[in-house]
Amino acid sequence: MAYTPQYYPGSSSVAVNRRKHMSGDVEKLRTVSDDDMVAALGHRAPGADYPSIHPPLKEMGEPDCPIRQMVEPTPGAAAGDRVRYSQFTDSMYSAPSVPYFRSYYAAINFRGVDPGTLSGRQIVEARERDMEQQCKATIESEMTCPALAGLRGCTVHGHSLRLAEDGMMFDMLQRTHLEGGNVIEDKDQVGVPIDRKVNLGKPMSEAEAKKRTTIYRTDGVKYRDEPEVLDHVHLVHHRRTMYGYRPETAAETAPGVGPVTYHTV
Amino acid sequence: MVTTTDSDPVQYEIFPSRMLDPSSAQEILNRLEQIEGVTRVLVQGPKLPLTVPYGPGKGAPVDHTAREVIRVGDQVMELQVKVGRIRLESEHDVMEEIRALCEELFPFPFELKEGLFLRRKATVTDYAKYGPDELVEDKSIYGMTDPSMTPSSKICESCTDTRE
Repeated sequence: MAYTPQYYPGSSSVAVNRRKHMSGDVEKLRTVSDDDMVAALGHRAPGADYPSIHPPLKEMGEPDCPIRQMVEPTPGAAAGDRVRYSQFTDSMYSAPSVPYFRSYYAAINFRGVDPGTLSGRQIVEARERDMEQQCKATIESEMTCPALAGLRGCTVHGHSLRLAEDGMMFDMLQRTHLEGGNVIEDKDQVGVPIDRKVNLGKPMSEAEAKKRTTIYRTDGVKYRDEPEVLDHVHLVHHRRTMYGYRPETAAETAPGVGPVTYHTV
Repeated sequence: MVTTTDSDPVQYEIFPSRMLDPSSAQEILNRLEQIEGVTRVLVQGPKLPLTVPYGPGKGAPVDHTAREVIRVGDQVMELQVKVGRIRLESEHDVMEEIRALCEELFPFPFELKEGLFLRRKATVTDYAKYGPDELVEDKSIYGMTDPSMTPSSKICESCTDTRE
């Protein structure tokens, strides 16, 4: 029988959504054209060729290296693309994803990406076409609500502020706005105006956002109501603290000791 | 420690669960101004810059729609923040009037607190901005300005700059 990773403990909707984000089994909710996404990222003009920093690997003649022979290069690396980034911000008010789970999603499901996880933002660095592939999949999926999450290369502090009256996350640079019920992006991720209006679709309703969120909140699914998650986190913390890089040597989990239950205060 | 007496003015803070649009801010500020006894009102929130302040897009215009000119009483001013809190001072207890007003205007929850939100004594920053306390005619200016504002900016046209 093939092994199916479980990824995350818990039985609530938040735990289920966390498992979905990690496994990459996310629902596609909208379509954003390639040109629109390239314009929103702001790294190159839509339709332009990918600038390169070295010739394609096939023309370079690589050294005789067993690792290089084993690992197939990503399309971006094979073509010699530049390394570029995309960065997302997620509101604390029940945004569908959070930086940690964006990073899990990128690292588990894509090759050649370098996710960076911060408290309020999550950045992915990769070869340009690999980054665009990952970014497009993220924007189009249920991991992103255009009102509660945003492509923001800088000034991300809206994630921790209250929402505006129309339900949009605060953005000092107002890269997105509501227009006829749809969220329109008319600036690139660093706030430079672009010559097109990128339609990101309708924002999620409050109920929809709470259904799809990966955030435990007191006004939604409470963290304390998830004993399996608490137990697991406690176990990881205990083993990491007591046994460092050798958790398998933990005395209480040695053969014959039986299951150990951790009680969180 | 600041001691209060019955004759001291009371201060309130309105904390709506959503950031206010300029039109809503104008509406509530005008209604607050009509409540008898209210002497000072301050709006606080994240700043709305005219241009991108940092990053690769530094200097690009922002044109934020929340940065609007509003009219409060006979004063016209440009909002430089997204209104998140409103702090006010009154000569007597107007808690229930404010609560009724907020319940009427806000379709979302809000918090209303009584406390000390606007300082009554000059700080070192106030000394640097306005000079020695005894030379400042209008002491109600204390606590009403943006701590990081430039010396040339004013809250509104009628505010006098008392610095030498």
